[in-house]
Amino acid sequence: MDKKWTTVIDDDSKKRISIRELSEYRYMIYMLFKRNYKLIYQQTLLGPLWLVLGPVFSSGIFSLIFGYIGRFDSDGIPYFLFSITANILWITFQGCVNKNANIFQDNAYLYGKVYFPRLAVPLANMFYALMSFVVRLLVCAFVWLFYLKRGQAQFTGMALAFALICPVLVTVLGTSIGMLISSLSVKYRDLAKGTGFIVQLFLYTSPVIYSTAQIPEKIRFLFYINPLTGFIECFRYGFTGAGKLNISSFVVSLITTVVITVISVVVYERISRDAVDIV
Amino acid sequence: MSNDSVLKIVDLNKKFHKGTISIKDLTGRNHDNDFLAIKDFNLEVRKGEILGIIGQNGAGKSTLLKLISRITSPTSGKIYIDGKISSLLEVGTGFHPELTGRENIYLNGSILGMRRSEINEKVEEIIDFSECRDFIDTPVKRYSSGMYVRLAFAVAVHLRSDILIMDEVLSVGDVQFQKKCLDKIKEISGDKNRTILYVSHNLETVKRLCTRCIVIDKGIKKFDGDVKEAIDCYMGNIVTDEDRIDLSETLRPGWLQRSDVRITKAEYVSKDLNSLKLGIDFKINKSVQKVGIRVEIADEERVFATALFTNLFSANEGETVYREIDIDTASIMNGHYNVVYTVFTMDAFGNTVDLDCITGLDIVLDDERRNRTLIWHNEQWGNVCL
Repeated sequence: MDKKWTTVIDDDSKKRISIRELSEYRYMIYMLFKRNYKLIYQQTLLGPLWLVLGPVFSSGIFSLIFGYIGRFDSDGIPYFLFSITANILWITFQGCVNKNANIFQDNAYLYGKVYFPRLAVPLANMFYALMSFVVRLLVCAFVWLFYLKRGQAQFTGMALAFALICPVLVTVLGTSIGMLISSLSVKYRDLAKGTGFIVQLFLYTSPVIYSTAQIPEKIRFLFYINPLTGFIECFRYGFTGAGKLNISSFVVSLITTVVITVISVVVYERISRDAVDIV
Repeated sequence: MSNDSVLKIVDLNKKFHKGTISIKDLTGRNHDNDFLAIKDFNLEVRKGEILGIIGQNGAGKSTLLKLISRITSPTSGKIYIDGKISSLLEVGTGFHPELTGRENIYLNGSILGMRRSEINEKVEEIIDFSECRDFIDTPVKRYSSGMYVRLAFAVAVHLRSDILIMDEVLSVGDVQFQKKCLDKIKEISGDKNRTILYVSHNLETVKRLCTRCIVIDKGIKKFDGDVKEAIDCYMGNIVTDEDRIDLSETLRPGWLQRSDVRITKAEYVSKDLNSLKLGIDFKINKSVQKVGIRVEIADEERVFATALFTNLFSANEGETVYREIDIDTASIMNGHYNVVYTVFTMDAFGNTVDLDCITGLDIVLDDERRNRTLIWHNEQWGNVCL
C-alpha cells in the first residue's frame, strides 16, 4: 500500500482549501469573468455604459430628493458628489451580494456536472465586480474633477491612495456575505428569500444618502457596526476630502470583513461538497 | 498490490435522501427516507483499461461516476486516484447560448480543466472535428441541435487526461457523427497510458470498446470481468433481478369485486434448487376467515401449474398479516414463468371467492441440474417433468 496517489477522496470534512488548485484553474476563473462581462451587455447598444448610468441616475434622484428637497447634510461638499462616491461603493456591494446569494442554484448546471474548485465561481464574480467598479470610478472621477475646478472638492493626496483599498474590501465583504447566504440556503431557501431585506438593511445603516454627522451621537456607534460605514466614509474622505478620516472605524470594518470572509469561505467549501445533492 | 492501478475504490457508500426537504429534517433525525445509492463498493482499475459500466436506470452508475469525479462526496469509504481525471457526464457543460462557438470552446475547455495554451494548440483541430467552421463565430443559440452537440463533443474528446469518464455521451448526434466519435474514442484508447470509464446503455458499443466490464445493480457491484459475460449477466439480470415487489399501489383487474384483502408486498425469502420460499404481506380491509392463496404459474400461453395453499390465516379488519409459503419447483423445467397470486376464501357452499388477484414475482429457473441428462424441449414436452 505504498503507492503514491495524486488524489484521495473520502468523507473527511476537514478538506483544505488548495490555493495551488485554484491557481491551476485560473484560466477558468478568467473565462467565467469574461463570460459574465460579455453576457450582461450582449445585444445592448450602450454596452458597458449601463454600468455608469445606474449610479449617475440614482445619485441624481438622491440629490433631488434628499439633497435639494430634504436638505440632508453632505459633509460640506455638493450633495451629488457626496452621493455618487458612496453610491458606486454601495452598488458594487449590492451587486456582489446578489450575484453570489444564489450561487448553487444559478450554477447547478456546472456544479452537478463537472469538478473544479468551487471557489472559482465567487472569485470570478468578485473580479467582475471589481472591474465594474473601476469603470464607475472613472465617471466618479470626472464628477470630482468638475467640482475640484470649482473649488468644491479637495485633492487629498496620500489619503486617496489609501482610500482605494476600500472598494477592494467592499467587494470581498459583499462576495462573502453573498456566499454565506447561498451556503446557508442550500437546504432551506428562507434566507435567500430574505436577501432583499438584508441588502436594504445595509443600505439604510450606511451613510449613502445621509452623513453620519447627522446621526445623534448616542446611537452613532450602532451605525459603525455595519462594516460598510467605515469603508464608505474612508473612501469618501480620501476621494473628496469630505468629513474626517476615521481610522478606528476603518479598522473595525476591516476586522469584521476578515472574520466574515473566513467564516463564509469555510462554510462555503464545506457546503459545496454536497450541495448538488440537495439544491 | 499492483502498481499500475490508477483508480481504487474502497468500501464506498453514498446515502441519498428521498422525497422533498421538509421541516422534519431540521432535527437531523429524519432518516426514514434515506437510501443507499452505492453500497460497499470496491473496484480497482489499471492503467490502459477501458472499463464499461452497465446497469439498469437508477442502479447507481451515474452516482458512482459523480463520486469519482468529485462532484459529490461519499458518505463513507475512499477513492484513490492516480493522475488527472476528467469527466464528461454530459456534453457541453457550461456552454452558453449567447457566446459564439469559438468562445464556447474556450469556456468549456477551461471548465473541463484545460489550460489556455492547450486550447490554443487544439482549437483548430476541435473546429475541424466539429464540422462547424462556417458558424464558429456565431452565437451557439443559433446553432442547430446537431451542430451544438458536435461542437460540444469535439471539445470533450480533445481533453488531455489520464482517466476519462464518459456517461452516455455517445447517444448524441447522427449516425455518422456517432461513428466518428467512436473512432476517436478508439484512437484515444489505443494509448496505453489512458484509462477510460465508460457508462452506456448501448451494449453494442460497450462490446466494441471495452476491455473489461462491471455490472451495477441497486448500488452493488454484481459482476466484474469479461465484457461478454458481463453483458450476459446484465441481460439475465433484467428478468431475474426482481426478488421483491411492492404491490400496494398496483391496480387490480376490473373483474375483481372484492377488496377484503390486499397483497402489499411479496418477496423471495430464499431460493433452493427445488423450492422457492415466498413471503407475502397482506393488508386486511375487512375481517376474513380461512384465507388461502393460489400461486398460478404460466408460460407464454397458459397457466400450466398452480400451487395451492388453503387455510393460511383468519384475521380482523385493519390487521396486517405476513405468511411464508414454499413453492415446490422440483418438477418444473427451466424457463421464465409469469406468476399470478390469487387470494381467496370459501363461501358456505364450498365455492372459492377471490379476494385479490395480482401479477407477482416471476419464477426463473435456470440451474444446470435440470438439464443434465438430456436437453428438455419445453415447446413439445411441456414445462413439467414428472
